[in-house]
Amino acid sequence: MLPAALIIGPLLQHKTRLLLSVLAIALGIALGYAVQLVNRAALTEFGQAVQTLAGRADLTVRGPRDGFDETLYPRLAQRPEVAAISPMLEFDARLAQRDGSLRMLGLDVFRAAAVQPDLLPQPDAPLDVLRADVIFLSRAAAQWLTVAPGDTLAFQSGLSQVEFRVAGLLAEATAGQRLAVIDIAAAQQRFNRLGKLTRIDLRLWRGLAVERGRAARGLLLPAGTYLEAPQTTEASMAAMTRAYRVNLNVLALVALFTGGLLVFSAQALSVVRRRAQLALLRVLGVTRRGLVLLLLGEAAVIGALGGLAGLLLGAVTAQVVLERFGPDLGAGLYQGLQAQLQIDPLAALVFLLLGIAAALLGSLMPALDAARAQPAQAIKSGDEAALAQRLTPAWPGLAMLSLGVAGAVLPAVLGLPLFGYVSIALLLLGTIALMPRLAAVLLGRLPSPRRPEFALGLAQLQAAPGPAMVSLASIVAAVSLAASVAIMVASFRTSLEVWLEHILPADLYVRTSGYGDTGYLSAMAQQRLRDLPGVRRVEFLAGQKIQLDPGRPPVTLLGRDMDPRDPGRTLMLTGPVVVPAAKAPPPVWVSEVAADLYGYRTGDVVAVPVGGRAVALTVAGVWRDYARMQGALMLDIADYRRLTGDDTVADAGLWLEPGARRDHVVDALREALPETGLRIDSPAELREISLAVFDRTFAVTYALEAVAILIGLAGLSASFAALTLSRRREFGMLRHVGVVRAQVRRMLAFEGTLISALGVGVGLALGWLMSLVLIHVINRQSFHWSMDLYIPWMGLAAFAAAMLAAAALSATLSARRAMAGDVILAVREDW
Amino acid sequence: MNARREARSASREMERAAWRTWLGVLPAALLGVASAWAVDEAAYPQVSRGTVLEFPRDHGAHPGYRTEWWYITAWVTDGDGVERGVQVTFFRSRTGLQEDNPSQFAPTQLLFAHAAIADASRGALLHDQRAARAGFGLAGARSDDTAVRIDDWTLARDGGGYRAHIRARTFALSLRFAPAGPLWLQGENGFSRKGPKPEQASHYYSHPRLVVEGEIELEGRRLAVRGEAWLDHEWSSEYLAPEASGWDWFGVRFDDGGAMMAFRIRARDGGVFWAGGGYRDARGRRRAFEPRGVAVAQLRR
Repeated sequence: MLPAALIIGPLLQHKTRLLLSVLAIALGIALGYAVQLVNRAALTEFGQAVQTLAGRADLTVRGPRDGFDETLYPRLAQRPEVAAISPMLEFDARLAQRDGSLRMLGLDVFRAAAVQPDLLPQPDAPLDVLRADVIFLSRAAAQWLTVAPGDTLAFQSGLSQVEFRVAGLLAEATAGQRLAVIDIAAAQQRFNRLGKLTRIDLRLWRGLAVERGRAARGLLLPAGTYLEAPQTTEASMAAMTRAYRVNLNVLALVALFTGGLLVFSAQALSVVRRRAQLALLRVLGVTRRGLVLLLLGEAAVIGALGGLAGLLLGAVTAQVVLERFGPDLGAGLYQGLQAQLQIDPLAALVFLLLGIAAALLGSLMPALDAARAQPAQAIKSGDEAALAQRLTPAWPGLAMLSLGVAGAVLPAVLGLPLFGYVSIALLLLGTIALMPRLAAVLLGRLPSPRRPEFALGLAQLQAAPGPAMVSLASIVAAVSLAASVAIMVASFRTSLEVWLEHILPADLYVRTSGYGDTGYLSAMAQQRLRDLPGVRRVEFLAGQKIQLDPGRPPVTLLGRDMDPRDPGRTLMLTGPVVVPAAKAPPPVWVSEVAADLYGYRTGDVVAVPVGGRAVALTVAGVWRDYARMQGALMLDIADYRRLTGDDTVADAGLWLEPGARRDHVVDALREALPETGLRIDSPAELREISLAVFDRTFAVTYALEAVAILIGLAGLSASFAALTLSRRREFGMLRHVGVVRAQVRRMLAFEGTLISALGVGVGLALGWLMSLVLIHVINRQSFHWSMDLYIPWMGLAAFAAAMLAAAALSATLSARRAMAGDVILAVREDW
Repeated sequence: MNARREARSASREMERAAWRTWLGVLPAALLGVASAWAVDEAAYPQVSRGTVLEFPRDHGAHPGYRTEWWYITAWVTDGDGVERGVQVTFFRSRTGLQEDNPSQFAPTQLLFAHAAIADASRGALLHDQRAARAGFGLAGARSDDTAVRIDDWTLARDGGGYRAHIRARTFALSLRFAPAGPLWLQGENGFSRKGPKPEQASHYYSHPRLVVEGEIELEGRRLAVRGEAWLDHEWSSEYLAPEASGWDWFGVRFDDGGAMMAFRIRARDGGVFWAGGGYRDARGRRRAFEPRGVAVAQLRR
């Protein structure tokens, strides 16, 4: 009973601080757990989707997004090791009546029956599955589109529309995925893909090892197609989202870290306040060990409370995210999946333990300090807290800083910037460890101010900087974390703006892309655009997906009007450029992502599967592309058309005649291409859309920044309170020698401001250093995007000023509280 | 003595017929499916009285008609004297769908196949079936002579006889069939009525006696077998009238070389919708049965 009362009693005395500590830990846990839950739901659903699509197949043949020649199907079907085979035409069909696209599977039901029974439609009339105008939907798709059997559903095919009658639902196994099944012949004809397939699923005769089958047929497959066992798809998807997840998880750890820091300052304060109480306990026979355990028990309760609250908050957040944004966390990876939240008890336990561990670590130092105090001394009021009194040696801090810098130059581990994160942690810890030294050096150089109370304050800090170090640590941590993320986000956003400016030089954009695979501008539509009155010049952008590596998602092959002598006019190049010689393979400019993932270097000649053949291309340069996360290869559009045999394009940029009115051109355009499915935007509108997407994606980082700042301030106020409380005797003495209350308050406010200024200054410098790691190491290694450093000076200045003001205010408030009551009596506490 | 042997033979023939009826249950259901796989709106040609069947062309498929099948039943004995019933059927169905679609996958012609081995002494029936749309050389039926396939399931005419290869999940067949006599045009010179209306008819001929030789693979054992078989080839655009629910079919080979075929089409209301058949004696003289000339009575339950 007694220990419980001793733990819970003090906790209840300081409700606000308790609440803040719990909240900080809860936020860290909530973020981490929510990311875990959302991702788990997504992966489970994705795994199921892969399974239904592959069914009982042992191997899947895949190819470029726009498909491969269907003659591969009979060739494989006649192989002796093939027991069953199912050809498929799979694509995203753009919806005609609304934005978005639906995953469409063109199936041969007779073949699918033996391989993917879960995909078979359940028609009322058996013949419906062979009708060209009939479609079957999964339950998720039917709900999403709010259609029922009997309704009509229209899709965009090229610039025209094709209509289907919904004839029924698919088997329950597909319920969670948005997909539709139509007859394979209808898919080929009505979506203009005659002669094309996109995947073939194979079941082998039992006893034939998968490996052997793979080896046997790997040689026979045309360029651009490849074999894969269904389970590898799932694994590669999990790997793809990993960088994104790890980034969010590190943000969660940052929140946990600041939470631990807050527990540290709160416990430090609490220990100072209860010094006499704790000493009494020692006198009553509680051992040092017992005291440490008691204080750690308090921390454990805080950690557990925060952890439980965080788990609850995390589950709710995950549910909301899944419902409102879908399981892809805004990364656009799992389109058309409807994931169900599944509570994950093991992860919950791990996160709960993490919360408790953070709180325990935070309170370890105060607890040890309290236990170290001599009870006989401490039971008397007024003994100084020994906390952080000793000036620690400089070498651990310096070592951590140098290791931190070294960590920043190490490469990624398994595609993750692990050393980058270690580097950031070491930079932060090293700086905090060095702070006492740094403070002593910097404060020692300050001239003594003229006003006596300020001079007193400075003298106090110069002589005994130790007690202020807790405040300094929390302010440095909060400011540096917030500043580094702010600089990174600002750099990214500005780089994105500059990039958008560069890639959107035309006056008007006509787009069919970004909504599945089925929208495009035919050669005739392109000519109509060229002939529009008021249009001076038209440039086209063509694209298709190709697969460079079976283990990775497809990259985008792009075609655009390129000038090999000046590719920088169209692309934002990030390195040297080569102009291929006359007889060299045609030039390809690769995006940074493609260059990083596939190891392409300028000047290399690489083999790329285009149009069913391996084509040699000269890497002529590397360019920055923020649009395609999986990588992009840019060809001159003439080469693109020649190599792919595809004369359709996805987008067009229009330059208007001087004096031509935009709305007139848009009207003429709508008249020339009356079919729906076109988006016409000005570059400004496109920029706006892109930046809105960016801001939405980074909303979670803004929220975390705010949390970091709040926690920093809370830590600051707690440590100031501890500081002033431990100096009540000193204040009483000052009052005795004639210093008035207001002067003491001013002295404390001055000290607080000075400490804060120091903390904010160091925090900003450290933040800048950490932002370099974020930009050039962590982001580059996670997403393969480079960006230029832009420092948001105004924002940082405002932030610093606000931090300073808040810190000064918090110091003043704690001073006021410390000076309340009879301070003069405090002197007498020292019998 | 002689009479008893006849009787035993007759009873054995009846037993065989019963087996064939049993074997017929599954493919009959399949034929029901096959005829369901066709639309009503397409313009199907009608079979007409007086059409002279020409061979080998009419051994081949007639893709314009809605339904067609090649139907083999055999009775084979292995080296140990164990007798088994064997059945191999290929159906072709013209769906009337997507006929203007240039896609190679256009489901205009579908193929269904059914194969079974029945072991009367053990009461075991092994069977398997396949279905596919015609195309890519993987599944289809040639029009010039019998050559029909779904993947590695094939039935083809070969040097006056037939060859069938079936690789099913639990068994395999590789059989050669040699005709022991001329083919038998059913009904009026191959025009077989299936209902009161003139269009309710099929073209129909049989090989009532084919000498079978070949191999079956069963439970991992390869067995050399010999025996006799019956083949029907029939095509029509209107085999089953809407009022009809199904049919029973009997084929009886007599030891003297004669053969009898009889069928009755059951009405949905439980009665008999239509019946027919014929008898061909050992010297090849044919006689067709009138609908009222066929009666079926169940002797044993």
